[in-house]
Amino acid sequence: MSKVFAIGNYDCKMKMRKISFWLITILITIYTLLDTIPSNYTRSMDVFNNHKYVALRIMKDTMQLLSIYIAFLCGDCLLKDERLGISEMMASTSLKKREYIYGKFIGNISISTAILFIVTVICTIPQIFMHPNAFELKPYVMSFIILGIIPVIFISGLATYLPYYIRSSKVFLVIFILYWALCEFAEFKGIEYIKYIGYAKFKIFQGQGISPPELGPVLNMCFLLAVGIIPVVVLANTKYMKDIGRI
Amino acid sequence: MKIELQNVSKSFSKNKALANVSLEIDKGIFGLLGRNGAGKTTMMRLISNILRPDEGKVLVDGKDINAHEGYMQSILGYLPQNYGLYPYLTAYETLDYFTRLKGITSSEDRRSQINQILKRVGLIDKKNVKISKFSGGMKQRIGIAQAVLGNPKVIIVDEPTAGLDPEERMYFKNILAELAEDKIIILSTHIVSDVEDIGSRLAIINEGKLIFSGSTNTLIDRVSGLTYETVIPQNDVEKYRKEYCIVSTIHTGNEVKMKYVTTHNLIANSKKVTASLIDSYIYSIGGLER
Repeated sequence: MSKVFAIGNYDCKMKMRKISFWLITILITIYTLLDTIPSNYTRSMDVFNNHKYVALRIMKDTMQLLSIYIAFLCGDCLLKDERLGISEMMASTSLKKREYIYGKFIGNISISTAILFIVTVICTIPQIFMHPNAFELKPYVMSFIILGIIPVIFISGLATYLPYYIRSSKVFLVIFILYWALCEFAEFKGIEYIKYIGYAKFKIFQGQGISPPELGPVLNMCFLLAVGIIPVVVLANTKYMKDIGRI
Repeated sequence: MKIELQNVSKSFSKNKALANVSLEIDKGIFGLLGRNGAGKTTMMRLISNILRPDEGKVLVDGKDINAHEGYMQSILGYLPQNYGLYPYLTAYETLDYFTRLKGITSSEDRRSQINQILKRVGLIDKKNVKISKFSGGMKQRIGIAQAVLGNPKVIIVDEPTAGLDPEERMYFKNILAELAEDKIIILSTHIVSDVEDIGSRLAIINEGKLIFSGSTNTLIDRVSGLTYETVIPQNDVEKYRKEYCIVSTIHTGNEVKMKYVTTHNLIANSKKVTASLIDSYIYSIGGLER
């Protein structure tokens, strides 16, 4: 396991040193803050005093931009190692293929969660000051886990295995953006991960906050986890790299 | 310690990269010479157990490395021909990453090994500098440093000096020579002087076939007394190429100073010269192509 965490840890560290990581974090934070701190006009609306609603809104705003950035940031994690020739050096060590793949997957989840966490914390702070006596932490934590972490696992999984199978991180990114656009703007109701967030958005527009999950979102949550995790497990346990067969 | 290749063959699609190669490699520096595309890298990968042979076996101390999963990886340090390093990591972090992948779990062991090897390759004062700020030669030193981590018994370096300036190349060769005391070091290259300077034994591969294996002196002896030099008009080079094995040509105006190996008739005004390793190598691979 130490090798898995070493790969995950260093992968995460490298991505955090990219300027784009900090730029996108700042951008998402500003966008989310502007959308969740009520203006003079909306201050009187009850929904902005409802922490469930605000927590969902923070997560919805964050995930909208973050999902594409994760696809961009993490989409070349395996191909880049091949391109740089690092895979061959790794193959000469005692590293096993599954340790490598799981390490990359954990790295992708870690970096995505890090952005999500930073944005959520920063955007939650104004809420504490706005409602000093009535602040509730639970809705923020719950929305972070359900609406944040689960899509993060889904996108991180996709970004780990899909570019490898289609042999191009750029094509993957285009496919992902099209998919995202279909979900976001065309109300594509097939297999979209946004559906779960869509559920939350529906509630937001209704101004009701979140209610106990219905079957659709729960099934969708299962779908997200399965699509995010199972192919990674399959890739980790099948032959990797055609002529560099060791890892 | 000994590495043996027994009738090893490897093909990629219809291309036969290695054909029925048998070879023994003992402790010390072993040079592997050949043209680009001769099959050197395939051979390095087969010995590293990164590739599996289609036929034949690779034995290390009598153990078939394909049958003993992970054995070769536990004693191997490998520097591939085309490799990169993560630009966002520092020299220390890069080596720490590889020590972890090599299974060195103790942080104290890792720290001491990394500092030791960084001193050895002359980069201890750059340990916290990002790889993106390193020159090609410095990156090559980090490459060899990662190969040496974990004190491997076998070190394989594939074309390590390509693209380095003369000073860096000499520095690199000195590092290899220092390391060779109790290890097998296999140096794959197409630069003959690299082997000449630090290796006493070598093999030559041409078009996937092993055409020589032995000491550098034995290789030179093959053309000793058979190497001649002459000056001919430039237009005659192609004519002589058909009859003689030309090992070097130096163009000076309309004339060409040509070195060749022959066992029969001499070209007019030829004089016998001392054969070098490169003459013998070029002769072994069939002379200059152009």
